[in-house]
Amino acid sequence: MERTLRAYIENEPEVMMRVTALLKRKGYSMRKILMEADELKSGAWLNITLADEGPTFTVAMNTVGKVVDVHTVEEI
Amino acid sequence: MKLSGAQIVIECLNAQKVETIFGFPGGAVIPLYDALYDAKYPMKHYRTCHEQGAVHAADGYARTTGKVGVCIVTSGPGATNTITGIATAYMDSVPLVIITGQVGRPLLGRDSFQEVDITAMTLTITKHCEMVKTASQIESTLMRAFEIARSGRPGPVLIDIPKDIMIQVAEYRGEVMKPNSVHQELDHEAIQIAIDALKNAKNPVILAGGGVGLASASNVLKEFAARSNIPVVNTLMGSGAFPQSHHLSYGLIGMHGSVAANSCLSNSDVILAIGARFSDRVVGASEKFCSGAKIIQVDIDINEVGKNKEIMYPIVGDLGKVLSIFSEKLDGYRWESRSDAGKKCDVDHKAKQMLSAIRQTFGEDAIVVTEVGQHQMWTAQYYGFEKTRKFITSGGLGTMGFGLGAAIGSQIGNPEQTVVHIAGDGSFKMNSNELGTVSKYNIPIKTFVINNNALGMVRQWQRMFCESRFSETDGDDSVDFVKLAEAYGIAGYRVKSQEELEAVLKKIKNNKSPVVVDCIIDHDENVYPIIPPGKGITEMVTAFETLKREVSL
Repeated sequence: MERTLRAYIENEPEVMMRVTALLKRKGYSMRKILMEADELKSGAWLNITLADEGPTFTVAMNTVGKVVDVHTVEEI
Repeated sequence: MKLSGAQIVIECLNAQKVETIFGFPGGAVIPLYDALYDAKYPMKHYRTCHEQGAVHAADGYARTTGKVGVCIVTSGPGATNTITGIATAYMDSVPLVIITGQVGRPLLGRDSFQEVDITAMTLTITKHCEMVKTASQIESTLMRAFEIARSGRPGPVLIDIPKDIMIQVAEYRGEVMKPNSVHQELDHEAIQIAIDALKNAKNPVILAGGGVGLASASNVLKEFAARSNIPVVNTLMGSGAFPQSHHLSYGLIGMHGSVAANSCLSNSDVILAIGARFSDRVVGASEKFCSGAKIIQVDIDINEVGKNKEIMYPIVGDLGKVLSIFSEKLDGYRWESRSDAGKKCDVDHKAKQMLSAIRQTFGEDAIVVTEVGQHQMWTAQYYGFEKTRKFITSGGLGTMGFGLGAAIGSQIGNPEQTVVHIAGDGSFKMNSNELGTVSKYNIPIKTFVINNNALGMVRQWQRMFCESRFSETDGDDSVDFVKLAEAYGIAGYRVKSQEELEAVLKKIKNNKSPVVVDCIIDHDENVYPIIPPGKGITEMVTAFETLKREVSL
């Protein structure tokens, strides 16, 4: 089973790199990564689909939520 | 007020009341060092011999003072030389701000001279890192960097500033940034459930980790433990979180923990873990770790709760506040005293006696900084720490070469206190170049090299688990540490016996100059107890024996 988290982040590639590097280090398998600037281009939406492996999805949400330039995280 | 980017950096450091900066100049930070030339007292820059030493010094300064450590280095190799230091600070949650110079923006991405993408390299070992893109962003970025470094669970923050931006002029607003006011709400229901579990415990124990010191929760812990009569064990990083001379203290747990501490922990039915993350060095074989016990884990960082061990009662929040609630709600509860059996340590060897003499000479208020290896474990086992911020060691990353730099920062941050640097010969050789910094600023660190002429800890493992096949771990007597110290203008002594050490200690006790004492011990003096890999914390080995390689080392 796959689950997808959606984070609203600063529109900088470093934020996406930090998020994906952290998830990789914790052993998650990422099936899809999509980053899109929002309409105002001040922030961006980052959608990451995770395979049902590694630590739990809640840990992934908490991990992403703690990154400094991540403003919100939710499951979609 | 219009200022250059470099001047804005210095103004920001002033605004953050930074008095001490460690660093090393280079091409990309020439404008910054030019601005630093005009910096006024009390801001002072200390130039180390190598950038790694600068980060370790900032780290030691931060760990012992509770302030944010600051470090400035140049681009390229200057920046990459900081990586081990940054990772060390990250693993032990130390607040640092590292300012790296970067090549000018027109040269970015062209493999220019001394260009590396340091923010990409440090993504996973910093709490935050970013490159400043215009001079007008420097102020807000740096002020935020300090806030990020010190707030919540502390950690290192790296700010990369291209050289052309340091020359660019921008408005310095001098705005005062409000401290992070995000208030972490406590889950009172979760706390109550945990308290109820503790009330029903027959043999509870408190496990104190490094978080206790970081959260300044040592006094609350002391009061709670004394009132409820619950025994306390500590992790390596939790040394000093609870006075080790207290009758409720059972001491160090984990791979090289005491028999008393590991037994106390494994005989408990409820474990109240405060600011501890159940690292592999604490737990041993995870499935065997206190399988019958209910665990309450309290931590400021939600990601630590349940990370390494399944937790029945997780609590996220400020340790001091949570412990105060426990103390208040368990008022009147007092558990039966536990057995003292095994508390008296019968182990005796030369290194232990030497550490005991050093402890006796400098007392409990000295700051003790170690490197990594056997001497580090002996110090944790035998020194006897009574307070937090007194035992400075690289617990998470296990960085050999950490000690001398960290001792420099510790001494500069605490000029009135004695700083004792306990090293092994292997670790000391890694960054002994920092004796140049010690000598230059006449930093009165007392260095004791516990010299077994070997990479002792790895050699011990080879002796126990690899049938004494000592592959590249025996020394070659290639360095005369007394002459090395003297080459830097530092007094050096060599001692081969306890009597010789005591005579030297008498001589240097009130000495206000640095000193290096080479303490010769035998290479077969090993660290016991030891929990072999793959074993549980009750399966301690207390004396030398050759063991089969049952699991991967």
